[in-house]
Amino acid sequence: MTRPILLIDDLNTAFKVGGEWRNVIRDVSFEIAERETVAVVGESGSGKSVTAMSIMRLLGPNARSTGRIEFEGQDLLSLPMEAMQTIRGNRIGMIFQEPMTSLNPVLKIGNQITEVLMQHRGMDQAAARAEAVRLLDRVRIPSAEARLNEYPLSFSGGMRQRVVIAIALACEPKLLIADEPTTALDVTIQAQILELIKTLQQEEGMSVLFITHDMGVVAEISDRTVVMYRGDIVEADTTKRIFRDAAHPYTRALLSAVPQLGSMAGEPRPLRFPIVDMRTGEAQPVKQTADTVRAEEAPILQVEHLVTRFPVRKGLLQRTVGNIHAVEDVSFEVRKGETLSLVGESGCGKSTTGRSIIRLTELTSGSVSISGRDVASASKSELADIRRDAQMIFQDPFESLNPRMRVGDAIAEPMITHGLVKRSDAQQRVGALLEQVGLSQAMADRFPHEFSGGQRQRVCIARALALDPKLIVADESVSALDVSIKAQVINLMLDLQEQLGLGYLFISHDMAVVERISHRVAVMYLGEIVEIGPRQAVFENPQHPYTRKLMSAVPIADPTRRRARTISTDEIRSPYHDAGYAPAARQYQEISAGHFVQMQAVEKAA
Amino acid sequence: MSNPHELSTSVHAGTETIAAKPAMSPLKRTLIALLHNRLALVGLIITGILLLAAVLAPVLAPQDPYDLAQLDIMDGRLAPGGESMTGLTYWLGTDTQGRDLVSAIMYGLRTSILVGLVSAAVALVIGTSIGLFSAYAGGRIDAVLMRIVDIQLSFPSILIALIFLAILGQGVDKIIIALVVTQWAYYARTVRGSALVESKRAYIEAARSMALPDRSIIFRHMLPNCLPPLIVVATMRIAYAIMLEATLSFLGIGLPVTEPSLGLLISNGFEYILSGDYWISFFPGITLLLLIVGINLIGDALRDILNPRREG
Amino acid sequence: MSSYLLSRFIQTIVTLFVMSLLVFVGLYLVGNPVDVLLSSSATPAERLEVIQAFGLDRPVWEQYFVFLAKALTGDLGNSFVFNQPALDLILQRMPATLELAFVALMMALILGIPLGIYAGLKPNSAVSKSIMTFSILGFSLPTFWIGLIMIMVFSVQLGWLPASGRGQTVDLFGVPVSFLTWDGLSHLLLPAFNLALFKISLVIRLTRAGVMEVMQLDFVRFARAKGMPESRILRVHVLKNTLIPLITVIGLELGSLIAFAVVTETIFAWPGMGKLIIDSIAVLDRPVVLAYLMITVIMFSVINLVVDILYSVVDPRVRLEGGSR
Repeated sequence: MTRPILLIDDLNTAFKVGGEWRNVIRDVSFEIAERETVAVVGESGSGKSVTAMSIMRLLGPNARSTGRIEFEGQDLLSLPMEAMQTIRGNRIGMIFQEPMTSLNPVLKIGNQITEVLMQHRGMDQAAARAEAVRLLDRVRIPSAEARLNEYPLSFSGGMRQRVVIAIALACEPKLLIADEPTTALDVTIQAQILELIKTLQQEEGMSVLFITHDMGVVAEISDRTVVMYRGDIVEADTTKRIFRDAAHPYTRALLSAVPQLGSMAGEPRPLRFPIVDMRTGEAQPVKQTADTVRAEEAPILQVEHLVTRFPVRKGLLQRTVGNIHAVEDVSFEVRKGETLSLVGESGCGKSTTGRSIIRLTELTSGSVSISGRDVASASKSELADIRRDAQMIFQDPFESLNPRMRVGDAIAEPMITHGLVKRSDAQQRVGALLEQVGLSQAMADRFPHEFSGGQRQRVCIARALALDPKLIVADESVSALDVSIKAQVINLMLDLQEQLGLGYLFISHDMAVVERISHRVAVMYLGEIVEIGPRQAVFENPQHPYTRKLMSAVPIADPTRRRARTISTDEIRSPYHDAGYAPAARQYQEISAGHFVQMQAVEKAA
Repeated sequence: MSNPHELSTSVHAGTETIAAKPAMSPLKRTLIALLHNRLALVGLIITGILLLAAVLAPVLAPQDPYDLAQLDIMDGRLAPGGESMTGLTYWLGTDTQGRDLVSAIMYGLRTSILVGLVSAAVALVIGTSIGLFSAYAGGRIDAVLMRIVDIQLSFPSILIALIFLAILGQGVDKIIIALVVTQWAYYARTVRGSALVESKRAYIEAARSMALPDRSIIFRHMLPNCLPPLIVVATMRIAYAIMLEATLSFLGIGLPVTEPSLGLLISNGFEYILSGDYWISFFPGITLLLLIVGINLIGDALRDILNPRREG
Repeated sequence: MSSYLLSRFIQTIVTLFVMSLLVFVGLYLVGNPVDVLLSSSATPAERLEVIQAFGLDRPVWEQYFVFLAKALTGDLGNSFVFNQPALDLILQRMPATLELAFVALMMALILGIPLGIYAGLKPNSAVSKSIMTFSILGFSLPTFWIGLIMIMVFSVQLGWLPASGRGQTVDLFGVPVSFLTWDGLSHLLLPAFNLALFKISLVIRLTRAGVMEVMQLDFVRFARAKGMPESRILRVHVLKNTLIPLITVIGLELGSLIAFAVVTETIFAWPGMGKLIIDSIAVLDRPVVLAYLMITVIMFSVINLVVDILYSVVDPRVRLEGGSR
C-alpha cells in the first residue's frame, strides 16, 4: 500500500466541562488510503463526529486534541490556524448532517459557492460563477445557471445537500469528510446522495471518511470500517470482514440489532431481535413469536375512505387557495393482535392518518371506527371514551413526557381521570405497569430528565398501557432510538402483543424495521395507499413501482449484497393542489389473497 | 454532535443505567441554582434589604416624614451628617422642609415598590389570561388579539402612559391603571408564545390522546411549562414598572405630592442640584438605582437558569 | 408581496383610526370636551361658540366625525397659553426632538453594535463580562436621575458642558439643527448621551444574543469547514444574519427615543416637543396635549410601516414567503 492520505495516530480529544477536562475520544488511530472509503460507525456518544471535527479542528476553544493527524505529510494538529484554513474546503472538503441549516439563509446559493472558489483557487468573480454552474451540473442540479441567484429557502433538503456537496468538492479535495450526510434525508433521496458521492469519488479520485450510525449505509459504501463505542475504537477491519465475522462483542451486539431488508423471507410471523451480550458476545436464542392475530373476530380498527386535507389560506381575506391532500381515500383495518404498518417517506400522510384515527387531527371525510364505535361523529365525551381503547406512542421520547411531572404521576393521571383506579390504588398499578415494560417500581418518583432515551420510551409505553387499550398507534416510535435500544423496544412491543393481544398501527419510514415487526403492510405515497397486503406478499412480491423504488433504495446491512443504482434527481412530490382539485377515484387489483395494488397509478409514481 | 453533554446521557444496549441522584423538583433546582450564582445573590441581598426597609419603614424610620409636627423648617437642606436642633443626626441630610432623607427614602420605597408590584401583578393576571385564551382559541381570535398586542408593543410605554395619565389625571390608582395598560401586552405575548410552542409538543398531544380534560391539560400540563419565561419577564417588568412610575412622578404627572415615591423625592431636589445641594436628589436616586439593579440581577440570572436549552 | 404591503397599509390605517377613537373617547367622553377645548377663563360666549363649532350639542357619533374631519385638516384647536394653533406649536418644536432622538440612536448603534459583537464573540472574556455588567447598569439607571448626575458632574462640578438649551443652531434645508456648530454640539452631547444610555444597553444585549445564536448555527460551522477566514465569516455570514432582525428593533427604538425625549428634554431644558407636552400637561393646555398625541401616533405608525417594509425587502425569507407571518 502506498502512503495513506490521512493517518491518525493516538488522537485524544477532551472537552472542558465545568472547569475540568474530560476525554471524549481516547487513543483513536486509523488511516485512509488514496481513493479509499473508510466508515466510522457508532451509536450516539461514541465519539464518531468528534473524531471528524477533530480532524478539521472545528471544535472551538472548549476542546483540546492531542496526538497526530497527518494529512499529505503535514501534522494538522500543529498547524497554525491560517494554514489550517488553506486546507479546509480546499484539500479536505466536509459535509454535515443537516442540509436545511448548513447553508446561510440570507445569502444566494451562487455566492456561497463562489466564495470558496475565490478564496482557495484565486478565481475572479466571473470565473468563479462559471465554475459554480459547472459544479451544480456535476451534482445533477437541473437548470444550474438560473438557480445560482436563488436563496436556500427555495431548495428541497435533498437539493440543498447537493449544493453542500458541490461546495465541499469545489476545490477538488483529496479527502471528503461526510458526517452523517444522509441521516436527515428520506430513503429514496438518501440513495441518490449515496450514489452521487460514490460516483464523484470515482471521478475525482478522492478518499472519503464517512461518519454514520447506519450499518446499512456502511455496508453500502465503505471499503473499511472503524467501529467506535464510548470514545474508543473497538474494532477496525475491512467492511466485508466486519460484517462476516466481527471479533468484538460490541460489534456483534450492534450487528445483531440491525434489521436487514429481505432477511425475513419465508418467515410467516414477526420476529424478535436476538440480543447479544455486550461483554461476552454470546447471543441468546430468539424466542419465536406466537400467532397473535385474531382474524375471526371483528376488527378493532376499521378505516374507510378516510380523507384529511389541510386548507392553505393566502392573501388579505385569508381565502382558501388550495389544499394539502395529506390523506386521500385511505381504507384499511386492524385486528386484535395484529400489526399493520404504514410505511412511506416524509409527507406521504402516514402520520396524519394515525392522528386522524383518534382525531388529534380533524378528518375531512370518511369513517373510522374503533371497537365498532364511530370516531368521526363522536361527541367530546364519547371521543374521550373511544380514546381509552386507542392509545398513541410518539416519536420523540424526550418530548412526549411533561418535563415537570414525575413519571409515576404521568402514568397515574389518565387512569385516575378516567376512573379506572382509585387514587389510593394508583401507585400499585403504576408499579405493575413499570415492571411490565422492564423498569422498576422505584422509578415512579423520578422526573423524565433522569431517564435515558430508551427508558423514556418505555415509560411512554407504560402510560399508553395504563388505560388498557386494544389498539396502539405507534408513530415513528422507535425512529429516534439508537439501534440496540430500538431492538429492545421492538422486542418489548412484541412481548406486549403476545401478553395483551394488542393491535398495533405501526407508522414508520424504516422498511427494514417494518419487515421485522408487521403482519400486514400498507405503502403510502402522496396521501394514498398504493399497495397493501400481508407482509410476505408485499416484501417478496412488490407490485407497485413506488414500493419497488422504495425497497431498492433501502441500504442493506450486508456488503455482499451491494446493488448498482442509477442517479436520478426525482424529488418527492408535493401533495398540494389548488382549490377545487378533485382526485381521481382509485381502483385496486387483488394480486393474491389480501394483497391489493393501486391500478392506473403506474405511470403516475414511476 | 460535538456536545460533550451528550456523553453523560448516552444510551447503550444492556447497560442502560441511570444516575442514582435523588429526584429534585424543578422549583428547588431553580432556587439552588439562583443561590449559587454570585450576581444573583448580590441582587437577592440588595432587593431583600430594600424590601425589608420598605415594609418596616413605620418601625425603623427615625421620623414620620409626613407628620408636619415632626418637621422643623430650620433643619431645611442640612448636608448629610448634619444634626437637628433636637440632636437627631440626619445621616443623609434633609430636604427643604427639614425632612430627614433616610425616613423619606424608606417611605418613598414603600410607595414605589407597592405601585410596581401591584401593577405588575394585575398586568400579569390580565396578560396571562389573555395570552392563554388567545393560544387556546387560535384562528382568527388569536390573530386579532396578537395584532392588538403587536400594535400596542410598537408604541413606547411612556407614550401610552402619557395618553392615559393625560386622560385620567393623577393618583395612585390612575398610575397603576396606566402601568397595567402599558405592561399587559408583554405578558400576553410571552404566555401566548410559549403556550403555542408547548401545545405543539408531544407531551400535550399525548395528554390529548389520553383524553384528559381541557382544564387539566391547560393548567396541569401547559401552564407550568410556560412559567419559566413568564417568571423572567415578570421580574424584568417589575423593575421596569418601578422605573416608569418614578419617571412619570419625576415629570410631575404620576403620583400626587401626597404620595411621594422615590421619583418625586428626586424631582424635589432637582432645582437644588445646580446650587450644589446634591443630596436631596442623589440619595433617593441611588436607592432607586439599587432597587432596580437588584431586581434586574435576579431576572438576568433567572433568564440564564431557566433557559430551556439548558434543561436536560 | 404586494398583498403583504396592502395588508400592512390597511393595518396602519386601522391603527390610526382606533387611536383617534381612543383619544376621542378619552378626551370627549370621559372628560368634558368643552374643558378640553377652552381654558377655564373663557367667557360664556366663547363657550357657546366652541360648542357650536365642534357640534358638541349633536349626537356622539356625529361629534366624532366633526373631530375627525377637523383633525384631518390639521385643526386640533388653539393653545391657551401661546394662543396659536396647537399643531403649529408641535411642528415648530419637532426638529429639535428629532435631532436629539436621531443623535441618540446613532450613539446607541455606534457604541452598542461593536460592543455587543465583541461580547457575543468572546462571551467568557473579562472585557465581555464588564460590558455585560455595564449593560445591566445601563438598563437599571433611571434616565432622569442619571441626567441630573450628569449635569452635576459635567456642568456644575467640572464645567465642561452646558446644562441646558440647544445652543447655536444653523438651518439645514430650512430646518434648524444644532450638530453643525461647536456650541450646538456641546449642548447636544449630554442630553443625547443621556437619552442613548438605556438604548446602548439594549443594543448591546440584542447584538450579543444575536451573535451568540448565529455563531452556533450549522452554516457558520460549514463556512469554517469551507476554509473561510474568520473575518469573512463574521462580516458576511454572522453579521448579516444578526443585523437583519436588528432593523425591526431600530425602528421601534427610534419611536421609543422620541417618546422618552420627554424626560431628557425636561431635565436639559431642550426646546423640543417633549418639553412642550410636559409643560402643557402641567398648565392644562389640552389642545397641545391632544395635538402631540395625534402627531406622535401618526409618526409611530409610519415608522412601523417603513420598518416592516424595509425588513421584508432585506430578508429573503420574509420576501419569499410573501410575509405570511
